[in-house]
Amino acid sequence: MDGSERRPGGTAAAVRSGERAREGRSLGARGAAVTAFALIVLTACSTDSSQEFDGPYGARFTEALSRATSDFEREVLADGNVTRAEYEEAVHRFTGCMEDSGNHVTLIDQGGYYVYEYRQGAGAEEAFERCAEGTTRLIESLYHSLVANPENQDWDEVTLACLKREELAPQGMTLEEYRDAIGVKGISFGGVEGEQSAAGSMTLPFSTDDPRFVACQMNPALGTGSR
Amino acid sequence: MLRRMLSSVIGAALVAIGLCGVAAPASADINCTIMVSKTSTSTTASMGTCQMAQARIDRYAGGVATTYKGPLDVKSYVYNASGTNAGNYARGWLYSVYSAWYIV
Repeated sequence: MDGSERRPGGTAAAVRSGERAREGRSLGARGAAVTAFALIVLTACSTDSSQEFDGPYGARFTEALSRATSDFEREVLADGNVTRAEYEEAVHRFTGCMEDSGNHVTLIDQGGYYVYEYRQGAGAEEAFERCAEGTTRLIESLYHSLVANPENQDWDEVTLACLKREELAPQGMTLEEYRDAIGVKGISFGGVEGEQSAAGSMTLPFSTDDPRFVACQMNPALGTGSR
Repeated sequence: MLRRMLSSVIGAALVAIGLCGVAAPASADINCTIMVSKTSTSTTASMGTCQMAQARIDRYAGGVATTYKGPLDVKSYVYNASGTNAGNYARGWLYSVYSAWYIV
């Protein structure tokens, strides 16, 4: 680590240390106190941001932990995993906050994770954003990925594999053919905010209302659960 | 017939009001692109060059406009077939900042 190379102990540091010793005990004591305080602050500040994780979502956990805004998020993310109980607790905190602000949220299970149903109305959107902060915002994304794509593979690839497993997509369908057929378009923000590419249209060789298609979109690792 | 038309107009107005409520969100300009697709009952959003994306579908039933939000993640999918489709939307997320919602 770079930090160890910068610690006092080299020639220049020794010279500075000797000079400081000649400046008297009170200044030395003050310097020691300042140094100790700085070390404590540096240690405390570096604990969370320097934590790194292994596994398919290691980088995502590191990134999420660095963006955590609540002790609850930090505690959940600290071990590089999100359990079902932790996810449920995050959702419980979120819906509780929404209820407190007068907005009822219905949870709908969608292949092992929740989507949120709520009535549009004054303040609902603002409350949703405020309540998600520090509760579900970072935790649900990781939980969703862990249950729907546990190996962190290409999402289109695992979805196509699911569709083939469900015997809906032709076994010979390539990833490129699948991507062409789902009619994806781009929405750009920033420099050309909101500019949209030409809308594509789905040309899949099966109905997008087929429960197997819906199931594979919801959770490609699970599909309908029957295969 | 007239009642149905009136109901649709009121519904559209409610949806428009709801959309106005989210069109000026706590968001800022983010410089990235998401990839989206839709059906009459679902919205899909992938992160593209953003860090994450979120899919949303609004449904209208019995005089009430209801929002359904998928997870904020590298890929987000939300499905709902109740009532009638009142709009497919998606937004991007980059460095803790959301884009506004955009029509898919």
